[in-house]
This record gives sequence, structure tokens and C-alpha cells, in this order.
Amino acid sequence: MFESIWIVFAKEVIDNMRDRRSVSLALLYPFIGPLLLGALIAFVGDTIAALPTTTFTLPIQGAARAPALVAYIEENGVVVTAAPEDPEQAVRIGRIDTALIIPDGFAKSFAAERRATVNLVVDGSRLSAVVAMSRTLYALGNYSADVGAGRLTARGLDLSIAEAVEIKQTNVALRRNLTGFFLNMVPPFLIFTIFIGGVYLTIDTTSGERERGSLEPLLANPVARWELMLGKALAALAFTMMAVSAQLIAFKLVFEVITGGDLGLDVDLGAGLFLAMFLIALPLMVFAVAVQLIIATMTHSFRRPRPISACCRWCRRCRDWCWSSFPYRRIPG
Amino acid sequence: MIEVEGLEKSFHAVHASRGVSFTADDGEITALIGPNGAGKTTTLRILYTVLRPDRGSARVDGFDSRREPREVQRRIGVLADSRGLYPRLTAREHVRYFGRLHGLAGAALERRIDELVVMLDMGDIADRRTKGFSKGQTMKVALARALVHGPHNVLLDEPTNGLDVAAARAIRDLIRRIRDEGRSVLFSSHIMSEVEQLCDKLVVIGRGVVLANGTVDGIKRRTGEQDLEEAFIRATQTGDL
Repeated sequence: MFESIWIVFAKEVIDNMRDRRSVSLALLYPFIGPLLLGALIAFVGDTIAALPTTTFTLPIQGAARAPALVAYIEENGVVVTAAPEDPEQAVRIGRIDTALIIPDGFAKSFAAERRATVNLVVDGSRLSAVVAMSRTLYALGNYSADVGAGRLTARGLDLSIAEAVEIKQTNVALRRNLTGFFLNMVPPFLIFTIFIGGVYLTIDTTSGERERGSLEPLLANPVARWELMLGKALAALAFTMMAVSAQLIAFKLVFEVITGGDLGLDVDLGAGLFLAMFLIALPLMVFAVAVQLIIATMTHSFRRPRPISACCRWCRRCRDWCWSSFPYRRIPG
Repeated sequence: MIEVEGLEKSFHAVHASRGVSFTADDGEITALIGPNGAGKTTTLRILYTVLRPDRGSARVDGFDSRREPREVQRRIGVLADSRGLYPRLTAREHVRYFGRLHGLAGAALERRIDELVVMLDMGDIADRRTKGFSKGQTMKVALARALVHGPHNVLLDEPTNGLDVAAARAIRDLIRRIRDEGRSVLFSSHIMSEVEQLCDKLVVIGRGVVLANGTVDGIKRRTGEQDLEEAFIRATQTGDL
């Protein structure tokens, strides 16, 4: 019994190892995700990783109207330059990331100890701008709080009256979240690979067998149909496992080589982690192969699965929509 | 020995077989002939276990194709109506795959494959992948994998269909050789000259029933025709013999 299953399995594996489509789906395509993610990490990492320690340039319009504020910003590691004539336009076209406009009435209001307004121009769609904005807002907020506290103290009032909540920020979240964000992109890639890795083999060994006309001669052999199907399913599972392994190895390489540990990953990216990911993914691999086999068996040819695969596409879209609408939450501890 | 008794099979409203009965004895070539859609392929497919009959029985060496399909499968070699190959496997790998599914292995299997390669004159194609094979080459591979386990009963669905003269002759010689080894051969064909040359017994099927059953000469006598083709036409048109 097991011998028949092994014979079918071995034949399907040998046959499909000679098929460029099956092999590229199992061994080549899985590298695309990690490579893309690697490029993303390299890009975003360069932008973000060094930010808390390096200076950045903030163009300011009307710096002369608030010398104390500008000095405070400079003390916080920001290089202040003169803003272009039209700061909004300059930010819009991407010439500068962000700009601070200190309007005419600022000095007057500030001197009168009324609320003085500044305008921070930023293009929120640009990552570097968002980070610059965050740091500028942080500096402006601190300055505002310091000055406000000084004014209250001058009037003999306690600062705590005006400040209901004191916010202390320990800035470890940036790196951790960034790491979590990147690691969080691994499962969607893996799930995609699980459903793609063995798909050509599944189609080739079921509806492909029927289409070629090789099914009836095969069924005339003294082998139970479930043994034939199990042999084919195991071959599809082997290809799916190959694809997932290739992708996990690629992810490991990407995280190790491209990031070079610069992101301060707080997760041990050893082989154990990737082995665990493989084992966790195993039930889904079995499920994916089973679903693919059922669909491919019910259809008559390579071309006929289309309506069903369209349904699958919609299911995947719904799943992706759910993920994007209800993102993961880090479990404390 | 193949015994078919009262075989009935319907596909929805289409009655493919409506009580087909005949026997194909050992050491004999039995031809199954009939017009298109007569039920020949349906009968063969029930015999080689890919279809289940609605009623009646198909037995091979006494084993029922429905109740004991494994026993039947071990005793038959099948050249099915669809004889597709795996384009990325070599001819030799095809034969090896089917041989292993029949429980053959090791040196015995390799010896058997070598025998078939010689018998079917496949020396030049044995180690080539089958993608792009001609009809004749495909037929040889399909026959080799059907015969790898030395079956006692051989079922051939239009074995010379689409072959050139030389290839068809080689197949006919092979069929005679199988018969001479004391095995039972049941084949379907549309080529009357071939049927006349080859078969010891003739079963004429039409509209899902057996219209005539006997030797070629016997059927000619009963129809009063000298030519088998004329006898066949008369048998299938009148359905009364």
C-alpha cells in the first residue's frame, strides 16, 4: 500500500522537477517577496534607523521673529536654514521635506504672552517628512510647555495646575515597531507562497492528467484511487514545503545580510525561529494542497479552473481586506 | 478469459450499453466492432475498471470488475481510448512507472523493459522524453506500459488507429504473438480488413447490444455476404441476425 503511494509520489516529483513552471514556482518565486522586503528594509532602514542620533535640516521662514524658539530647536540637534520663498510649494514639489513658517504676528503675540501660532508645512505621504515632522513637533511642544511653565511660575502658580497629564516619552518604540512591522510582513508572503508553491504540480497531476489522456491508463493499474491521490497530494505538499523553505531561507538571509543588525532587532533570528515558522505553517500547507487538489480534481482541464480560481482570488482579497482593517496587536509580555 | 454478461450502462439519458454479453477466450483474438457510439469503448472501460456498470457483470479470469477490481487490474493490460503520455518522462520511465505500480522491481523489471524495447522496436526512442513523439511512437510506449507486467488478458481500444502501414503491421504481429502465447486479446477496431486478418472471433455491437457474435466466416454466412464490410453494414442496419 505505502509502496504504491511512494511510487506515485516519486514519479510526480521527478516529473515536475523537470517542469520549469513547477520548479520556478517552488524555488524562484518565493525569493521575490524577501528581496522586495529586503529592498524596503534597506530603504526605510536608512531613513529611520539613524534618525534619533543624527541632525536634520529644518527650513524656517521668519526665523528672526522668534530667535528663542529657533535657538531651542537648534539645541535639539536640528540644523536651521532659511526657507524658500514659497515654503508650501517647495514642500509640495518635494524640494524640501518640511518647513516651519513663523508668521508676522508671532513676536507680538509671544511678547504679549498670548498664544502665538507657527505653521508646520509637511507632506505626510513621505516617510522622511513624517519623521522630521514628528521630531519638530516634539521640539515645539517641549518649547511651548517650557515657556508656558515659565509664565505660570512668574505668576506664582504651580505648573501642575495647567498640565493635567505629563507625558514622558521613552523612545524605544520606534525601532521595535519598525522591527515588528517588517516581521509582520513575513506571514502574508508565506501564506501567498503556501497557496502558490505546489499549484502547478497539483493542476498537472490532476486535471492535467485528464487533459493529457493519461488518467485512464493510470486508473487501470492495481492501485486504489485514494493511494494515487495521496501520492499526488504528498508530491504537491513536498513542492509547497520546498517553496516555503526557500522563502524562509531567503527571509533569514535578508534579515541577516541586508539589515546587518542595524535595526536593532529584538527577536532572535536564529534557525529555530524559522523552523518554528515552518512548523506553524505546516497545517496550512496541508490545507492548501487539499483545497487545490479538490478544485483541480473537479475541473476538467488547465483552462477550466478559472471560475473557481477567480472565487479563490476574491476570498484572498476578502482576507487581505480583513487584515488591513483589523491589524495585529502586540501581545504584552 | 473475459466474460461479459448483460452489461448495462447509461450516461443520463444516453444508454451506452443495453445488455451486452460475450466471451473472449484464452488463446483467441476477439474483435469488438460496431459503428461510432455503439458502446464498444464503454464496454472496454467497464472491463478495465474505470467505469462501473449499472447492471450485469464483466469478469476477467473469473474476477468481477466491480467487486474485485484489483484482481482484474492485475490480470489485464490496457491500451485505453486515451493513451496520453507524460511529456517530461522518457519512454523507459513510462514503462518503469507502470511496471512498479504492478509490483515489479529491480533487475526483473529492467529486464522486462529491455525485452519490450526490443519487441516493440523502441531502441531509438527508449531514453528520449516523450514530448513530440509521433502517433506511432506514442502507441509503442502506450503498448509497452500496458504489457510490462505480462498480463494474461489484453484489452486494446483501436490499437492501429492513426498509424502508418508499417507501424500498424507491427502492432498486428504483436497481437498475434500475444494470442499465440495463450493469452486472451480483446480489441476494438473500425478497420474491417484488419479485423478479418486478425480475429478468431467477432462481436458486433450496435445501439448498445450485441448484434452478432461468432467467427468471421460464420457472420458472413449468416448475412449472406462475401465481404465482411458488407456483412457488418447489414448487421448494423438490420440488427437482425
